[in-house]
Amino acid sequence: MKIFSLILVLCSPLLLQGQMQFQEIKNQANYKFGDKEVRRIFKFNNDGDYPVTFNSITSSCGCTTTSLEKITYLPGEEGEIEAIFTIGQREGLQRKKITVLTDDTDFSRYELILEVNIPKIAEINTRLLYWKKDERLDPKTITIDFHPDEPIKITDVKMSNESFKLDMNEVLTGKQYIISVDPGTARNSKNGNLLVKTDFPKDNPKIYFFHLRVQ
Amino acid sequence: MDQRAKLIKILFIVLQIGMGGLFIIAGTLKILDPSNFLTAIETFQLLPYPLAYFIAYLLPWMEIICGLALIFKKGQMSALIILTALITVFIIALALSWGRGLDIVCGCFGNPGSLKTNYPWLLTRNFALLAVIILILIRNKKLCRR
Amino acid sequence: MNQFIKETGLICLIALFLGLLTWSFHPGAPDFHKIDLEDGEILLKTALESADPLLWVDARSKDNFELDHIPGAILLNEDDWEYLLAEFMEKWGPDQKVIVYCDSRLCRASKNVAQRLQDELQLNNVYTLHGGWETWTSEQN
Repeated sequence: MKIFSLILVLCSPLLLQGQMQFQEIKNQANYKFGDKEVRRIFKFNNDGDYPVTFNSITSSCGCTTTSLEKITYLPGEEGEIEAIFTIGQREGLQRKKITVLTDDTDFSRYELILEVNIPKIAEINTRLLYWKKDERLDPKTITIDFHPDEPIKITDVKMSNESFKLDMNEVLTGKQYIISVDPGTARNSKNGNLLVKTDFPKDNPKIYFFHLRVQ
Repeated sequence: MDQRAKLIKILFIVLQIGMGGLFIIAGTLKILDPSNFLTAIETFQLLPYPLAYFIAYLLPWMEIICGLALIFKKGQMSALIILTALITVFIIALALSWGRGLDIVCGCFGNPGSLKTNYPWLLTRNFALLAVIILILIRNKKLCRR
Repeated sequence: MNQFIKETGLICLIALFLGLLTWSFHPGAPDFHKIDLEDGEILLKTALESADPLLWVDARSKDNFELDHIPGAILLNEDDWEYLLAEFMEKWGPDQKVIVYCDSRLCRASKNVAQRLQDELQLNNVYTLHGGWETWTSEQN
């Protein structure tokens, strides 16, 4: 009798399945320049025999928030989790993991993935130009290659330390710029900040910072 | 035995077997993936790593053995007391994490408003479990005295 | 009472034995290496014993940084990369070990920031703190 009841109890989860079925575990989002955030919906339904409650939904990054209309879903009921990823100034392929725990079993987890590729606007060879005081103080160059199809203009260049001499050339119209920086001949420690303003994207044009140092 | 007493007796048998089964399943799931369970303990950030490591291997088997004890009624009183202690400790851990603003899945801290871990639900559920265990404990103690 | 002690002791002993078996034979059992360093990670102890001056970089949110941070740390996260990078470059020195941290062992922000520092500034003395802010606070306590 006892063995039988043990077996029955152990099998019960198999007889009464409460399971969330997600339509898509991985959701790829599209991005266009200028977007500040990306929103994706993860649809699910309770495919089981008893109500399931969400215990927690958390993301791998503070930049991704989630929202859910309610936490308990009856058998057959559908719902959706909305994930909002605030892009900030991230670049490249972004994969944000959203971990979902339900009360199906104590440690049952679903891992949803929100993926979005944020193309770099510019490929820049370096942000930091550094000369050791005892090395040859030859000019060094900053190369900026813009990726978007439309031509991009550098609208302003500001140098905080005039002892660094700049020479900027638009090598390929709207596509490639080379800024040559000459630290001068004096071998004293100095530094400067270079600010380069562009006209892209129109609503929030990119600004790039560079640092120059002789030390 | 009158009808009422019979029904109560059956109810408690069902509850005891149900609780036993629940803990056997819970323990088994943890044993199947010790790495995952260790990570879950670590996200509470309450125990030093060596202790968390030790508990990741010990606790699931405690649950399974106590579950079996409840079903086979061998050492059930001890099992009930151990389970009471385990659930109480877990409730305290949950309350502490909630107080510290810890999201126990991402392992990161946020302000109380932004927390996604559903602490009220987790605490309610565990209090309910504790209540059932204590009820069974009291019932069995009464029967022992007779 | 004696009976209870005996039974509890037995349950614990059996659990201990089975736990030991699990640790020995389970294919998915994690190793007891408190230290499981990924590429580019550094332990707090190692960092503090380093002869090089350290530049701590906080990759968490601005709110968390303002609440508390490692003394001397500067904020650098991907929410406001450009402006924060400018501040970082001002403070950076060629002889420094740059150590980036975020909340804990489980967050990725420090790895992302460290990678960008290596890619964009060609720095090669960049590490991420194993265990993050959580390790720092537990060392202080």
